[in-house]
Amino acid sequence: MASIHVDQCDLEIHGRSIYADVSLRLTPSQPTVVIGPSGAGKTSLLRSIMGLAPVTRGRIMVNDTTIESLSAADRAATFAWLPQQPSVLHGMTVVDYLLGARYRFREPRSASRNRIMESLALCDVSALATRSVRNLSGGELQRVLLAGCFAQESQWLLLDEPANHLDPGLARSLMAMVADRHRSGLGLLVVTHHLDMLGPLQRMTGVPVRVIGIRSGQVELDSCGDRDLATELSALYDFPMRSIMVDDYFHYVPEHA
Amino acid sequence: MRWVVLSIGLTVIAVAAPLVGPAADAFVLWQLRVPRVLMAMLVGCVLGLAGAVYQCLFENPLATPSTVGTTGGAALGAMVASLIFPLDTFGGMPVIVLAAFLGAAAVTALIAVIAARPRAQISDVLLAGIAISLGSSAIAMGLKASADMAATMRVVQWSLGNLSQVGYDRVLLLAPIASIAVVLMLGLARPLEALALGYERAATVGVRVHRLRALGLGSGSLGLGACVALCGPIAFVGLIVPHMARGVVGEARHRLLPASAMIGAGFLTLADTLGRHLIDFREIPVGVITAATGAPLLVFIIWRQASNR
Repeated sequence: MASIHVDQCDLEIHGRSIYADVSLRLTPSQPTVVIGPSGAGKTSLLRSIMGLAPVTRGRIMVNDTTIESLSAADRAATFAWLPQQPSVLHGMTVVDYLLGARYRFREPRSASRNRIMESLALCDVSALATRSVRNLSGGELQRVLLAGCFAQESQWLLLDEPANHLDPGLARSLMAMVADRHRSGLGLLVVTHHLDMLGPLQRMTGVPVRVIGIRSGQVELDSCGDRDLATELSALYDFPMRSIMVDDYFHYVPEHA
Repeated sequence: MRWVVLSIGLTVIAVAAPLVGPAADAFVLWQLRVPRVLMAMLVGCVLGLAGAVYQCLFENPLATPSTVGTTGGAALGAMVASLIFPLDTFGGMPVIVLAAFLGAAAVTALIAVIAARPRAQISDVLLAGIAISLGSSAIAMGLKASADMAATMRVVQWSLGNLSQVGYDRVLLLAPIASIAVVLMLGLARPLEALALGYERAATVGVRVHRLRALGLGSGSLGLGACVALCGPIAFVGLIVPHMARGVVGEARHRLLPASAMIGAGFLTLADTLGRHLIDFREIPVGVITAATGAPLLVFIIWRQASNR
């Protein structure tokens, strides 16, 4: 399985530093959640790891290879990405829309369709298969996109704010789908503001989650999620946070103002 | 299957039309009508398919060779070449085709660079297209004004977009270029299908997006340059045809692209036939027919986009 090494990386865009001196080793066996204030550089780091935002210093390694020297097909075999703001500029049907997720497989279209139908079933949205993507609700689209990521059959799943557009119940069932795939070997890297996902993710994967906190482009927190992080989170968000225990897992809520 | 039947139907009507006229003698049929129908089919096929490919690449149904300026660039290239080299000799024609391709490619490259800017929107691309089209037509006007009367008349005839001066030599010149362009563009159906996920997501499923954009716009410019050089800038086919194709086969790229090619061939043949028969003893250039159809459709699509945003 592919482990990721972020090796002393900086990213600058138009002379502005997005993140600096980030070093991380990520293994697929440990689910990793990246948190931090808005604009801290979380999404940019995710994009750099996939090779979409090339680092300006340092290197991103996938096993023993830099991300730049991986072919497009190999990158696709390594990372599937659920973007924060998906691009839907047409009225394709859901199945046609997701065909692209199978691009790296040189297979007949009917085979691609079958795999996509299986993924849609995994995400409990088989009924949407022939609907136009333009007419989906935010929550429906999010689950359809997740099905696309599953259909890609990559080694890692990179989720950027997966709970966006989802009500609490749907958000929880989406985490359950993802955790289920983790048990069959899928690496997980999740960027989120939803701290209430930490506990359930640990319970559902059965593995202590690694929590990485980024603030102003610096890694300020790198800890195991099975201990109380209220103090660290307060510093990270510059706002008092309180921990509460629910079902033996820590949850975090902002203190009353 | 509906679209196969439809496009075959259109083609049959167009080919058969000359046979039912009263003046259908062998010369008219074989020396005038058949090469003209062949030409219309080739040009329509290229223009329709290029329109669909552009729309996929720019992710918008308004982005077509005529709206982003490729047609204008090709026309300018062809016009410059045709005033330097004699238009009516076959020796000059390949040069004009090459010049049109270069004009188309230069403009398209510029547009592609604008579209790839970090905060570019489709409106930026279309406005740049308008600027380029206006600029190239102004230069073309200047060239026309400074040329002699006979050359000016020829160029005006040509710049309306018409299929009336067609013989087998032109068909034979266009056929190989058009075939290469069409095969290249049809070959892009799979990556274009993945591009529907958006440029960045497409890059993460294994599409080499820069290569795809260069190939798509390059092969489109190649086919378009040849068509414009030979028949003038026939406007709006790239807008109308994919719109019709989408109505018949839907958005799926592996159906939309071939359908646009086939419907394009049928549509332009039909439009040219209409142009010949609409008024007795006078011909309306096919470019006038397509513009008269395409301009209202363009307004309609903008109307619909503005209502659904």
